[in-house]
Amino acid sequence: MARTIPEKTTNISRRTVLAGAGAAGLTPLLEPSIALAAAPSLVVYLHLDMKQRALQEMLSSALDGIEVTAVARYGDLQRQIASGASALLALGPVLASLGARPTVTGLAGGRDTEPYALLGGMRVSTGQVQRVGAVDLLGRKGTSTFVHEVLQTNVEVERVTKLEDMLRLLQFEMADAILLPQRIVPLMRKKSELTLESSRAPNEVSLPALAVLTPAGNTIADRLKKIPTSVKSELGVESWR
Amino acid sequence: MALTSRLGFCLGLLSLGLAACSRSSGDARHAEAFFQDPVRRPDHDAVLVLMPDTEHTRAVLLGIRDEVGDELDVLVRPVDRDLSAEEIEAMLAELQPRCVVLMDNPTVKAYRELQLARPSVTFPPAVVVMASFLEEHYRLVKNATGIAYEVPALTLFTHLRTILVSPVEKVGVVYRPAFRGYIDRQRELAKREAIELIGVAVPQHPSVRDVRRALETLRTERGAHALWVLNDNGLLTPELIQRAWMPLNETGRRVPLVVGAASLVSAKFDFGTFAMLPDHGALGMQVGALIFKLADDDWTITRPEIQPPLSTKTVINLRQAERDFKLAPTALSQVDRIVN
Repeated sequence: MARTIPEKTTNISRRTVLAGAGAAGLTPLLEPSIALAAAPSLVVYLHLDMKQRALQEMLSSALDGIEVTAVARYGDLQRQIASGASALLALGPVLASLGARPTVTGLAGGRDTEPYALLGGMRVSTGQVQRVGAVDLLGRKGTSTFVHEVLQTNVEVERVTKLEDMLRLLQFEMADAILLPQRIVPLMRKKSELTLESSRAPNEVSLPALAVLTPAGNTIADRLKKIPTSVKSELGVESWR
Repeated sequence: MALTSRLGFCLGLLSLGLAACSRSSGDARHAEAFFQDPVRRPDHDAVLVLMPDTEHTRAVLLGIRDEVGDELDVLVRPVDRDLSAEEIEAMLAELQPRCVVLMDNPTVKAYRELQLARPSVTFPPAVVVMASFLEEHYRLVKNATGIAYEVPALTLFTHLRTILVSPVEKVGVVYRPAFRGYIDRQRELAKREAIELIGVAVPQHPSVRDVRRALETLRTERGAHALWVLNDNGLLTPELIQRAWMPLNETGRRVPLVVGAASLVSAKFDFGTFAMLPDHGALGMQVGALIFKLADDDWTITRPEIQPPLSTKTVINLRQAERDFKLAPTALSQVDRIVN
């Protein structure tokens, strides 16, 4: 089965400056190859307040009959894409870095982006922090570019592979603050006894979106639109466009 | 298999420090391909990785390659416990790496012997990983930095609080005198999250009675909400597990036991409630980030420090946990593997 080569994303808006962050210097992975998977297979590359095992099980249950693989590391994402996945569910910046056009876009409050925040000890406003922790969305250079664009300032970036690891950067004083979706801030506070302040980042980040990578992926796009509200909520999404 | 035999097997794996993952020599061809050097790029610096060949070390290597492979040539030499200082010296002379990654205790020991044998030689910086209680020993290796292999108490019990409904504010630990410094540092770190780490020391060669008494003190007199089981072979002999640790929860108030090896959480015997151990792929990525910091500093160690492993994996003995403790509604979304 031949793989569909998505056209390069062309609808670049102000916010997709963020969606495109990190694309520079990265070789698009979506090159013509023979898709190996017979059944539709979905790769999920999202960092939520749950382990990848739990995320995979939740989506496997909601998308019965579709092979779901949730990964946390950028290297694992690259391997999964190269092995012939039918579709990819990830944040907009990740899709853009791969040159993949979103087929289904997540919305919350009628918008396709969400606010991000810095969370840390004292003085967490942009311009005051020097070392910022972030999930390694796009590899070393791509993630640094992503963080710089969201914060509109250059900082040293400490990368981790999971959302939960970010709290450890604060606990061990390996970062002044961490960058995360604003909706996650209360969850982080709940997990920690540290005194934490937050401030909103200047730029927003695209919500999760699905890119179809092979014709089989169209089935996944249709099915994703019908997943239960509770699952969408876990993904940080209220509806799909 | 009798209980003692099963425990002996699990503990044998623990004593390797790389539990349950040694590879057979049968897939030598596969190993050869896995360890094949990349084509050297003339304008790229090289990093030499010395590692035993196990499932876990391979996962770490994969993380290192993912992290630095585009910019640095990662050269790997699988080694065994008999690695000699002379062998390392020959590798350094041949490959001229800007940095050396040392995995596991015997590798570190051989590297240190080489440094001692060649006191006037300047060695490339070393990043040590997967070595036991590294914070206690890393200063013995000149020009070294690294990542500890033990998950800090702070990390363990902050995470445990997301799994259990009951409070996790006082945590007990039994330790031998050699571990006192380590426990003191862990106690200070744990305070950051309002966790009180209560230690009870036992003799260097503790009897069943010593360990039993220490555990009972922690549970009854000190009111520990959970117990942290160190990866210390001296406290985890089959006899001590079977006659001191395991009987603890047969009577009285039950306390969760948090262990540091997945092999100690089993449906076949009632020992560890939870295991929390480093995520090896993420550990490799963390090593890669340290290597990049060294490269940025012209291959010198400007901030000698041992980092904690930032990313962990959690295993739960679900049958035991559900029977003895109240789990948070989202508890199972916070664990990587369920043993049932």
